[in-house]
Amino acid sequence: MKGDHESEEMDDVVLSSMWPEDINEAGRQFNVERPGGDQDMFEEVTIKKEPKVVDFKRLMELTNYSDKGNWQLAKLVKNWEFRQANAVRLLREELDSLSKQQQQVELKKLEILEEHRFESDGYGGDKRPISILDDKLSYLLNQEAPRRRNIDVVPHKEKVEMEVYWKQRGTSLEKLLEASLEREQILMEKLQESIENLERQSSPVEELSHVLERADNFLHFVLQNAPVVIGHQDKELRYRFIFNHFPSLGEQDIIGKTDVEIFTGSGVKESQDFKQEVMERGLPAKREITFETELFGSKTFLIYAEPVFSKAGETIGVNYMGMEVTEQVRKREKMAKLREEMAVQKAKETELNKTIHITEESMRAKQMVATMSHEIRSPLSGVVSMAEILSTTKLDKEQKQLLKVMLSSGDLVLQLINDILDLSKVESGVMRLEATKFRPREVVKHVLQTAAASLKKSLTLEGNVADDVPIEVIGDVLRIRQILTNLLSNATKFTHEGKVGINLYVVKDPSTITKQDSQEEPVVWIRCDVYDTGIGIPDKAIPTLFKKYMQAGADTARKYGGTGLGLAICKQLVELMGGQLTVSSVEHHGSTFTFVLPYKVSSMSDDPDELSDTEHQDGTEDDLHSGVFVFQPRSLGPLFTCQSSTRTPKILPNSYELNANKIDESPSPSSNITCREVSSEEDAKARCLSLKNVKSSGRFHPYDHKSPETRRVEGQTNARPKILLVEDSKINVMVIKSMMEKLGHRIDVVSNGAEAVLAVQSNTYDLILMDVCMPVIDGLQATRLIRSFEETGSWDEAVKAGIEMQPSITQEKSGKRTPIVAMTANAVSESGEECYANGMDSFVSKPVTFQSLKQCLQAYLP
Amino acid sequence: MPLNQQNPGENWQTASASSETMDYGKMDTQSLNRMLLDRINELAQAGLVDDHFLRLHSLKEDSGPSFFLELILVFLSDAGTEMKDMLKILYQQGHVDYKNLHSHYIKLKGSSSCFGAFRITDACSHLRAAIQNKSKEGCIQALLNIQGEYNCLHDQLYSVVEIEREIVSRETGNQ
Repeated sequence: MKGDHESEEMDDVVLSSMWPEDINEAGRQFNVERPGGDQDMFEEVTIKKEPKVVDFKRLMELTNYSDKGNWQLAKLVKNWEFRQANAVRLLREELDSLSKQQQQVELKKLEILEEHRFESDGYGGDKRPISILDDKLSYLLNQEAPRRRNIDVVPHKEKVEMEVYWKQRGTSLEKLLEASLEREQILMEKLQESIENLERQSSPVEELSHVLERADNFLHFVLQNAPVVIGHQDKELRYRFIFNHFPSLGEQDIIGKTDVEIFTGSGVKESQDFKQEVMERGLPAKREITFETELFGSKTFLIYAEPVFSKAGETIGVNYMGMEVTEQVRKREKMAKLREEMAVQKAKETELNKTIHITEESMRAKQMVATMSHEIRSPLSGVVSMAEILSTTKLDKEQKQLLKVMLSSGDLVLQLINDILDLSKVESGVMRLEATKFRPREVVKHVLQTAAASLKKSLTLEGNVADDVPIEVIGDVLRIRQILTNLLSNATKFTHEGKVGINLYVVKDPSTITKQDSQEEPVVWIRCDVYDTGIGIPDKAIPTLFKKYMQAGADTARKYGGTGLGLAICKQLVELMGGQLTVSSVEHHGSTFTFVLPYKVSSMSDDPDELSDTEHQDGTEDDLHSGVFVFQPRSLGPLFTCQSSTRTPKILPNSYELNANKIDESPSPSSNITCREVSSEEDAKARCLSLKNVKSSGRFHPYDHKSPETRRVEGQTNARPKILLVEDSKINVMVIKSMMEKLGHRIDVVSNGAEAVLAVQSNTYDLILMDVCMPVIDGLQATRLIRSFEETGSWDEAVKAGIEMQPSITQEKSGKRTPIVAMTANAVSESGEECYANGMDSFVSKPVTFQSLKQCLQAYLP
Repeated sequence: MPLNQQNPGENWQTASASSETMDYGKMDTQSLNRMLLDRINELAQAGLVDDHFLRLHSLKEDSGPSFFLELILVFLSDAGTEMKDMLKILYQQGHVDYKNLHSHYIKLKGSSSCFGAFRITDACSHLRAAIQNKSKEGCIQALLNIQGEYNCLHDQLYSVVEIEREIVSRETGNQ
C-alpha cells in the first residue's frame, strides 16, 4: 500500500518532495491550515506559477535515492494512515454505541414479555419473541419459563375481569413494541449509511495532493513577491530546480547548467566555489556574496547552501537559497561608515574637550597668578609705604641706609608683581591702549635720564633720534616708555663697559607701502633700536628669550637676577600695539633689540600743556628738535652717591613717584632733608659702604667706586681687629653686625664670595665669618680661593674662577692664614667636614648667638 | 615733613585688615615698652617666635632705637622675597632647579632661625625633605605651609611693629 501511494503521489505532486519535511505534522516548521471553511482564500489571489523550473527526472532520482526525499514521502503516507486509522476508530465507537442501544431495547422487551408470559401461554404461546441477538439470553428465558409456570396460581373467580384488563394492556404493549422496532430499523439504516459513507470517502492520494497543493499555494503566496531565489543543484552544480520570482532567463538557459555557464561577472565564481565548498564539507553554511554581472547589475545576495545526501551518505547535490540584501548591505555599510565617523568625531570631541580643559586650567592658573600677585601687592605696598614713612622720620645715617635697602627690595618685589599683573592683563586682553600725543625725543631723553640716574656703572648712555621722526606722534606713551625702560635696563644690566643707546628713525610701512589711508591722519612707522656693548646672547638662547620666566641661562639668572618677565612683557606690548620686537646679538659683543611701531602723526600742538609727557617741562624749542643725547659716566658722579634706588618712576604707584622725584631733583628747594643730609655729610658714604654692598648683591664690585674718603675711613679703623662678614642675608647681616657692635667690634660686610675675595685682596682681615650658601661664588669656593692666595701669593685661581681682580692692588704673600669661620644653616650639604675640607677653621650653626660669636672671637682674635 | 603727619599705621592696616586698632600715642613710653614685651611674650607662648627674638629686642640698646623695628621689617620683606623666588622657581616651566631652590631654602632657614621665627624655621624642614626627594608637589606644599606660617607671623607682628614704631618715633624725637 505504501508503495502505491508513493508512486501515485509522484505522478501528481512532484514538487512537494522538495518542500521541507514534516509538512503538516501540527506544530512543526511548516504549518498549513487544514482544508476547510476558507478553502476559497486563494481565489482572490492570483498565483503565478511560472517561475519554478523543474527537472522532473532529477526529482525522481532525488526522491528515490536521497534519504531525505524518501523520508519525506514516508512521512506523508504515515500521516495519511494516521488520519484514516482515526476515522476507523471513530466509526467503531459509533457502532459500539449503537449495539449498546440495541441491547438495551432487547432487555426491555424481554422484561415486558416476562410480565405477560402466562397470557402468552394461554392465548398466544406461538407469539413468543425470539431474540435476534443473543442465544444465551433466549436460553435464559427458556429456562426461567417453566419455573414460573409452577409458581403461578390464580383463583378462578377473578379470571373474567382479568381477561379484559390484560387484553387492553396487551394492545398497548404491542404498540410500544412496534415503535421500538421502528427505531431499531432507523438505527440499522443509519449504520448502513455510515458504512457506505466510509467507503465513499476520498482516497489518500487525493487528500495528499490536496494538502500539497495547499502548501504549494501558500508557498507561492508567500514567495510571490519575496526577493529570494531557491534552487537545487546536483553534485556537478548544474541547476536541477530553480525558483526565481524575477526570472531573466528561460528554463532551457538554466536547467542543467552551472552558475558559471549561466552568467559571468564578479561574484559568480565565488558563489560556485562556495557551493562546492559546502558540498565538500558536508555542512550547511551562509555567505554574503556581491555579484557584479551584466545580467542583473550589482547586487548582494545572502546565500544559504546545504548539502543533500544520498541514502548511502554521499553528497549528491546542494540546496541553496539566496536572498537579495543589496539595500541592507548598503545600509549596513553606511551605518558602519557613520559609526566610524562618529567614533572619529567622538575622538575629536574628546581631544577638543581635553584641549578646552587644558586651556581652562591654564586660564585658571594665570588667573591665580594674577590674583596672587594682586594679593601680594597690597600688603607689600603697605610695607613699602610704611618704610617710606619711616624714612621721613628722624633717623641716623645707617638707619637711612637700612631703609633704602628695604625700599629697594620692596620695589623689586613690587616690580615683579606689576610685571606679572601686566602680563596677565595683556594675555587676557584686558589691557587697553591709550592714544595720547607725545614727543618721541622727550621720551627717549627721559628714559635715558632715568637710566643714567640709577646707573651704577661707567657706561655711556646715548640716544639718537633721526631728523625725520615727527616732533609729536600719537600712541600709548606709557607703554612705549615701559618698553624702552625695560629694554634699556636690560641693556645696562648686561653691559659692563662701553655704551648703551637708543636709535629712533622712520621706516617704511612693513606691510603695505601704499598710502591708502592718507585721508585719515597719516601713520608713521618708527623703528627703535636699543643697543649695547654687553655680554650678548648665545644663539641657542634666542628662541626662548621672549618666553615668560625664561632667561638666557641659569647662570645669568643667578648672577644678574631679574624676573625673566621683562622681555616677555615688552614683546606682548609691542605686538599689542601692532608692531614687532626682534633681537640680534653677537655673544660677548653686544645685543640690539629692535621694535617697529606705527604711530599716528599729530600736527604740532600750539599749547604745550596738552602734551601728556610733560612732567619735566624743561624743553625749549631747541630741545624739541635736538635728537642727540649723551650721558657720559663722569656726569653720574653726584647721582651715584645718593641715588641707589633701582626703581623707575614708571613702575611705581603714584605715592612713590614723589619720593623718586625728590631724589632726582635734589637741588630744588622743595626737596626734603633726605638728600641734603646725605650730601652734606660726606663721610656717610664711607660708613654705609658695607651696607650698600649688601643691598646690591652681586651687581657691582664693592671697590670699583671706592672714594678716597672710604679708604681713609678704613685706615682709621685699622687699630681694631678687622673682621669681615660674608653674608647675603640682610637679616643675618643686621643681627650679626648688631651683636658684633655690642661686643665692641665693627665689621665689614660683603654679600658674596666674589666680593669677599676682592675684599681680602684689598684688605687684611683678622677674622672672616663666611656664610656657606651664597650667590655667584659660595663660601666654600671663596675660602678655597683665599687659601690658594695665602699659599701661593697669587690670585690666579680667583681670576680663573671668573672674578675680575683689581690689577692696581698688588699684595705680597703675607704667609699669614686668616681664620675663616663658616656659618651654616645646619643643612646637610653644609656639613662640618665639608667646611674643614675647603680650608675653613671652624663653623657656627645658625642662628648665630652671642655665645657662639663670643667663643669664636675668643678663639681666633688675639 | 608732610608725610610724617600721616598716621604711621595706615598703610600697615591696609595690609592686614583684621588687626585691631589702638591709640598708642596716648600711652606713656614705659607702658608701651611693657606692652611690647607682653606682646613678644605672647608671641613666644604661641610658639610663633623663640628666645632669639627676645634677644634681638635686647640688641636694641646698642644698635640704635630703630634696630628692632628695622629688623622685623627687613625680615618680613626678606622672607617674603625668598618665598616668592622659590615659588617662581617652582612655577617655572620645565625642569625645577632644585639646587637653586635649595640655596633659597638655606637663606630662608638662616634668616628665620636668626630672627627667631620658630614656626617658619620648623616648616622649612619639610621643604628640605621635599627638595631632597625632588618632589615638586611636596615643595609647593611645604612652601605654602611656610607661607601660611609667614602670614600668621606677619599678622601677629603687627601690634609689635605698631608699638615699636611709636616707641621709636618717641625716642628719635627725644633725641
